[in-house]
Amino acid sequence: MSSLHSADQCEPNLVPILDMVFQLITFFMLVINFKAGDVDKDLVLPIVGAADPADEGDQGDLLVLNVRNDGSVKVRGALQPSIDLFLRTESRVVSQLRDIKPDQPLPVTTVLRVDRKVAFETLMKIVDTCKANRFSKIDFVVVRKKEESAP
Amino acid sequence: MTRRSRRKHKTRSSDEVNLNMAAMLDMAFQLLAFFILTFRASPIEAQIELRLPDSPQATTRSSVQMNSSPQEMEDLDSPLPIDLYSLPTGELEKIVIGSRVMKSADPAEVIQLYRQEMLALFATPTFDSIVIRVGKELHYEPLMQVVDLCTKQKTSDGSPMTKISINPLK
Repeated sequence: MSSLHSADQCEPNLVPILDMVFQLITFFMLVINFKAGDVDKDLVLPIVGAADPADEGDQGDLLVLNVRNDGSVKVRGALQPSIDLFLRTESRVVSQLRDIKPDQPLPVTTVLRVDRKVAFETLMKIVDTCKANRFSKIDFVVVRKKEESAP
Repeated sequence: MTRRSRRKHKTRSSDEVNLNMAAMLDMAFQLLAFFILTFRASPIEAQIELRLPDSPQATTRSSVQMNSSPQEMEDLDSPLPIDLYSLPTGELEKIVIGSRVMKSADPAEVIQLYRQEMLALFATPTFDSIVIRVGKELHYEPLMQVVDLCTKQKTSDGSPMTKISINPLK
C-alpha cells in the first residue's frame, strides 16, 4: 500500500517553465533602458512629422536637460535652481577632465527635452545659457509621428 | 565479483545530484516580476539638431541656427522668411510667408495651410535658406512643427535644406 502511494506521487517537470522564465528575463534585460534616469517622464513632448531618429551612436557624451512647462529645468532627476550655475559648473568640470581650452566648444551634445507648452522666450534663454557655457551642439527631442504623406 | 559490482552500482545511484529547481524558479520569477514592474515602453523619440555658430560645421543632418537677436536677411543666400505670430496664450495665431498670410482660429488648420503653402513653394526649389522669426510667447510645439517641415525641403541645387535660422520676431 505504502509503495503504491509513493509511486503515485507526481513531480512536475520544472525545466520548461524555467526555460520560459529565463527567456522572458532575457527579453526584459535587453529592453531595459538605464538612461531613463535622465529623462523626465512628466514632460509632454511635441509631436511632429518625421524628424531624424534619435542617434545613439556618434554623439559622444550627452547632457539631457528636461525643460518643464513652468520653465524649470530638471537634470539627472533633480530640479536645478539656477541653470546658469549648473551649466557653468558642468562646463568647468568637462574642460578640466578633457583638457579643453577655454575658447573651444565642449565635446558634449546637449539634449533638450522641452515640454510642448514652453514659450519661445524661455527656450531662447536656455539656448543662450548653453551657448555662453560652450555647449554648442544641441539636439531638440520630439516625438515622432508616422508620416501621412511626404511633402 | 557479482556482489562487488552490485555494491558499486548502488553507491553510484545514491550519489546522483538532485537539483532543487523550485528555488531557482522562485528566484527567476522574482527577477521577472522586477523587470515587468519597472518596464515602461517609451514613445519613439526623434531629434532635430541645432548647430550654434561656435560648433564644428561638418554635418549631414539638417541644422538649425538660433539667434537671440534678430538676424539680418542680407546675411543669407536666397532666404525664405517665415514669420510665426502667437496669441498671448502661446498658441499659433498666424504664419506669414513673404506676402502670404495663413490665419485661422484653429492652430492645427494654420499648420495645415502652412504645409500646403510649403508644398507649392518648394515644388520648384528657389530658396537656399530659411529664416524663421518667432513671437516670444509661441509654444515650443508649433515652432517644432514648422522647423520640422523646413528641414525636409530641398535647396535650389537639390541638396537638403540645412540653413535654417530661428530668430525672435521684432
